[in-house]
Amino acid sequence: MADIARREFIKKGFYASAAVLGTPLLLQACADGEVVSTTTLPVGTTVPDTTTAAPLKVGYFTALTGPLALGGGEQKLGWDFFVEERQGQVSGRLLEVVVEDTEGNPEVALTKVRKLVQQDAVDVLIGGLSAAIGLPVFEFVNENEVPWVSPSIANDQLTQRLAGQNRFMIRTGYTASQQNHPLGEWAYDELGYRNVVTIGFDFPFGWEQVAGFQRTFEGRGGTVVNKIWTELGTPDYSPFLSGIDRDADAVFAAYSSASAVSFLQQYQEVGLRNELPLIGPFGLTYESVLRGGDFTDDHVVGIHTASRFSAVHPQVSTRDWATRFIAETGDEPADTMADAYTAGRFLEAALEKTGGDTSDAGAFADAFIGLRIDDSPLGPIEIDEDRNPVFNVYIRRTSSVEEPPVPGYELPWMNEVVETFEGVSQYWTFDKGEYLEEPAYGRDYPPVSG
Amino acid sequence: MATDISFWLSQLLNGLALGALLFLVGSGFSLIMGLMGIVNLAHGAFYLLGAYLAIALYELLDNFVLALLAGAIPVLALGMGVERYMLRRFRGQELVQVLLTIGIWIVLADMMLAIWGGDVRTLPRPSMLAGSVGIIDFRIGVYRLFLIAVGVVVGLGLWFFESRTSLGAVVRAGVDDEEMVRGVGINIDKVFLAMVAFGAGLAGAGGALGGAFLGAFPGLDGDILLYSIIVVIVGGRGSLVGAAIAAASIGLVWNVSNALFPEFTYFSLFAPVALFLAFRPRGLLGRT
Repeated sequence: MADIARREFIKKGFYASAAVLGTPLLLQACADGEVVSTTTLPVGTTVPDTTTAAPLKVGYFTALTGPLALGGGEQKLGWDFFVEERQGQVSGRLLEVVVEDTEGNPEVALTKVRKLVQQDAVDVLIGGLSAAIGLPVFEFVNENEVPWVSPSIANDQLTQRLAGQNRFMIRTGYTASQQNHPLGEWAYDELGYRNVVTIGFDFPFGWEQVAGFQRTFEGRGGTVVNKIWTELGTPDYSPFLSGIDRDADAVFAAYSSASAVSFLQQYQEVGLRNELPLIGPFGLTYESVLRGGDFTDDHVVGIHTASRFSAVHPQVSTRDWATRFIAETGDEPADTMADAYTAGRFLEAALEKTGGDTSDAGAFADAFIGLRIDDSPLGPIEIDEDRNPVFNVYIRRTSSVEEPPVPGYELPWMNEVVETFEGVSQYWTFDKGEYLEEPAYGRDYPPVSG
Repeated sequence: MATDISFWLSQLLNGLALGALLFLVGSGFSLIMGLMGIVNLAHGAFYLLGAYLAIALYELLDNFVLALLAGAIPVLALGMGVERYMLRRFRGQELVQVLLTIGIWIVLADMMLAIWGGDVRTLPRPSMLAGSVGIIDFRIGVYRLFLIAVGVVVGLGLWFFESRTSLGAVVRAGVDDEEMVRGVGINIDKVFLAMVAFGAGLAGAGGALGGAFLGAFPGLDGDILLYSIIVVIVGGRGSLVGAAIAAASIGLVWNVSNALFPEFTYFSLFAPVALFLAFRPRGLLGRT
């Protein structure tokens, strides 16, 4: 009797775990059968110059459901805003956009990209969100020779050590380490930190963000005394927080989205906010994080972060764009929206350069190199020879909002720009050749020296 | 040394706070599994729905207690509907019932995404429970202490229900031998209905309480389901006392091991599960 019950129990446990593990596969199977969300955007009517050119077929893919739906939804919002402002027409060609949901799952993403290219025969791909799909899609577009404008995928190597194998991925976003290089030097010079503890996501996006900071911070003479890594979906940071050395000068926290919200909440709760200042990459305090938590000034004011964007930057191009964005969507824009909009601007600029011609995919992909946009939402931005952008990096301090900095801005806090580093490339001030001779950034490189 | 005592005390309290939340979600899951023999895979979705509903109602009425009820009651009603109109049709076909709960999970998850979007949402804490208090030389959030208190009260209530009431006796009997309970003339359908509703309500209430601790966002449903499964494996199915001990120990193990060996997060969580499955598959207090 006992034995039968035991076997039954194990069997049920097996069903349960099989079901849990199998669900993504099941979802995928359901989704493969049909086109989940194919939309064709309305055609602009006010433009008199109706050219006879064929519509430009754009395949847009991002995570619209699943655990990464937050970032994917924001990215799509930025892109939709661009299409709407252009009334569905770019450089004389009507846009025909086919949207696919990657569900935040690398295998689904590759299936969807393959479908967009082979079935829908799109002229250009736009989108992609998590680093996990970076390499497979990178390889696919280079094999199949389809230009891919990539606003969010941040794996350093795609435009560094793998740049020689790349012609068709054009990154208009950023590399994970790019914005953290200036922050490392600035934290040493201006904030006077000497010993810093880092804590962050235990996967490449977290590793590369921390490594970028560590490299330049230690280059100045600072020390990273401890590197703490946590899994995605960690419910409770309190045990990790109690392991932080209180003798350090500050904590660099590489979190974003839901994780940033819980982290900031708990960091304040254990009383660390008054002891150890916080710094971090843009995701730590970006607008949807500020919106998402049950925060007081004590949680967020005074955190320094580095980003290519600030919704409240006073420069005309950002201010105008943010004002229009808030008026249209009701939400304060964050980095991800600005990135996707900027990707649209680059697509437009490349089309203008080729006279609207995309028939030679290789030539069209090459047309992005050297393109410069001075009035993007981010400010000036240019694509370098490795197909990665060079932009200004802003050091931002989270401050309380007294007067709305942009019309319609309703959040109680903002990412106020306190310092600007102009024209930051993925190699920062290092010599590219020497930089690439060094080991690649990773979980244990640079190593902990403290 | 004061720091040593305070280190362990802070791990203890933080661990118990997480444990209290795990108990709220795990106990209902365990009851349903023990009694009906099915793994309710929609349990995490019930939790998340409770969290979202509580936050939505808080935004309307600005009242924390009402928000908690809003998380619990509609989810309880939903659980009742699921049992009455779906699970009951497939009584005895456990695999079909489990597949049905997956379907409910997916539908709920997509509906929540459609309604509330992908943004992280957090239930604001009432001023009484906001902030933190200092103990020796560390600080702990008042809300965590509140969670521990809720966990203890609910735990005592459930224990009383299970061991001192006649419905509790029926439930215990049902876990041991469902056929015999039917045989003595008890309407087991009503018991099933009550337990699924009750389990869902507990998950919803847990979601509402957890909404101020972990927040609410797409994907949390899967995490919560996983924790519930761990609680059942360690505690033993159908045992409330087992669930309480398991939830508290998982909270403690999670905290202490992460503080001492942060690189082994998932190992320290799943190693006990593997050991239990290998050497004591009925869990701590599960009935054979």
